[in-house]
Amino acid sequence: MNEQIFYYIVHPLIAFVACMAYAIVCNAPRREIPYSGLTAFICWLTYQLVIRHGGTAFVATLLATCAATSFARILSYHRMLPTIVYHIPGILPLVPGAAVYRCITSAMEGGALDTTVNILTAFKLAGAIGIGSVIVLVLPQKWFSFFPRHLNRKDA
Amino acid sequence: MDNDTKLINLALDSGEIMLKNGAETFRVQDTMKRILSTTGRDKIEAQALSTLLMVTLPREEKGPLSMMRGIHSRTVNFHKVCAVNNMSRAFVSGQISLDNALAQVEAIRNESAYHPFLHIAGYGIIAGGFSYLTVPSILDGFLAFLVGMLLGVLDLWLDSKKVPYFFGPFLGGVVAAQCACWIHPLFPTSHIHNIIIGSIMPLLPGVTFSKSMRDLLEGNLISGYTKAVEALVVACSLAGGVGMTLSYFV
Amino acid sequence: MDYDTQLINLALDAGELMLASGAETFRVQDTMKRILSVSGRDKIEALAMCTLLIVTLPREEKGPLSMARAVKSRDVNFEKICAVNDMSRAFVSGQITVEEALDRCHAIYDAPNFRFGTRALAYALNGAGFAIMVGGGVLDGFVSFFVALLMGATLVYLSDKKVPFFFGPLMGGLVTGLVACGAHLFLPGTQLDKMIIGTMKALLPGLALSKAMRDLLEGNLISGNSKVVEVLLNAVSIAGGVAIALTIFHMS
Repeated sequence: MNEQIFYYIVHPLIAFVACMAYAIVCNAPRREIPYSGLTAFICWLTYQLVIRHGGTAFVATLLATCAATSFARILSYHRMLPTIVYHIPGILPLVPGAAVYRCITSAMEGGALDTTVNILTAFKLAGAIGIGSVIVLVLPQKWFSFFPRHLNRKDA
Repeated sequence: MDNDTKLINLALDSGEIMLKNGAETFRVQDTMKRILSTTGRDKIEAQALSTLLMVTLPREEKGPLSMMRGIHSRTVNFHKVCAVNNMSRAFVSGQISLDNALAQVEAIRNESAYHPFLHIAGYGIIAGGFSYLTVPSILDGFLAFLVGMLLGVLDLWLDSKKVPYFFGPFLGGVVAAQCACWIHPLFPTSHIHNIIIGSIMPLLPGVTFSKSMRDLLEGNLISGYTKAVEALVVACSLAGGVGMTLSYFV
Repeated sequence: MDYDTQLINLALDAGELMLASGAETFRVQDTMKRILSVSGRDKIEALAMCTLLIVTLPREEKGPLSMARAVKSRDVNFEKICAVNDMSRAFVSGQITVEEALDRCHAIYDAPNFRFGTRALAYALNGAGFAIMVGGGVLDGFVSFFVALLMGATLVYLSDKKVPFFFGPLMGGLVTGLVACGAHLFLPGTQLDKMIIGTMKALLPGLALSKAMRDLLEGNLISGNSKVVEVLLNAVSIAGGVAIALTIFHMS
């Protein structure tokens, strides 16, 4: 039970904060920063749910990207801003940093087979992010338009 | 300048700001086409190829008008992308005039980013947070936070210099690995690996790679392909920086 | 429109038709240059980069004239290539005027393709033939006929829709895999791999690959590079579609 709270609440919350920081680094508009973090929250929650229920990293990354991208598109319609503002901070937790680092260390320690496997893993995860985003991005806009437009925005 | 020339300039200016600040190729092309379509002419064309913008506005009377513009620096600034987006919406729906729109674009170009402290703190929080997400250890997370802040300072400093685009990640990798290796003896329970994994997170070209995949799958082959190469070069220089330093220490 | 504008439009229309119908980069550039050379000016330029056409016509009096056009669709239609070729020959040799040539371009653009049934049937015969050629029995060929018929119908149906280019091969692979697996379930005497290989033959980007190699060897590097990537993506999409179908089949 304790572990569940840790992985399903604490972990996504950390992703939420870290990706709000990323939105600042990317100079997102001030009002959109919490929404970018929320996308990352949903993304990492999905990832953890799949991973803890026996999914592979590839499937988890794919599904988490799909979830984050769908949410980013809903927000983008609602807030009338480009999708990337929410999408790019949202998928940041999935970027295979550890896999890239393992490529470096295995390349240094000289195992050619290890290095190849690690590079392929990194590419597979990166590819999952790409495929997941595109699958959702090509769906028709009206599937994501159920949330009404936020028309009385002052800074429009 | 006549109206057509102004319009084509507006399209190129908006496209330039969007492409420079990290908008996707599809959106850049779409915005430029929307701006040009206010003339009501057929066969307008707006292309964005990673570092080149190209716009054509066919005029019946005086022959087609074409213009190109190269893009030399690439950063990420979503605020400017959103501002240009709002401007183009207002222009296309007729709420602001052409001269007004040109003035707005000029104002957007000169807008400032967030306060440097926020930027540096952002780098730190990303590094600390992701270090903790990879391996839940509070000490490593905290150390990664410090290293990340240092990388933020480095990033701001390099922004004001004219350096090739791959140099930032390379130097970042060197600094991250150096710091991790120097800090580790002071806190023997920490792990070099966790600190480095967290602190290189903001430098990784994940965004470029996912944008390149998107461009490729949407059919913008040239820009997708060049972006994939860019991501590869950045990842390799980052890996080179980290690897070089680590092989010296380990 | 004055003569120069018409000429540049004609060159772009012809180039767009050829590129969208699957002509090689070299031929597209050559045709556009020939059309522009009718003006008798020096230093004309016509470039084709996989999805983009750029044309420049230097005029002494009024400054150079340039125009770009993006080419979205990438089909294969040899009939259109031949028609554009005939048109450009006739125009360059002076048999038809610019206006007539532009009209013929529009006519070619709207020219009807084969009917839906004919195209699907062609896929079906192709699939049946290749299934036998790669070592399947008569039964495999017979079943492949129907598998490929369904796959062809999917592809032809998708070709008119606005979908990303990788979607056609993906769905084609998926349909092939699903139908072949389903057929194998009811007719255990069939060979699953032979049916899938035979049906997939028509989907594989062989034409695009040979064009990409030709572009690379002729020095049209940008175009060649991006075509290689396109071929790779197409192949991965087909493989992905078949893989999904096989995964579903093995799970149940």
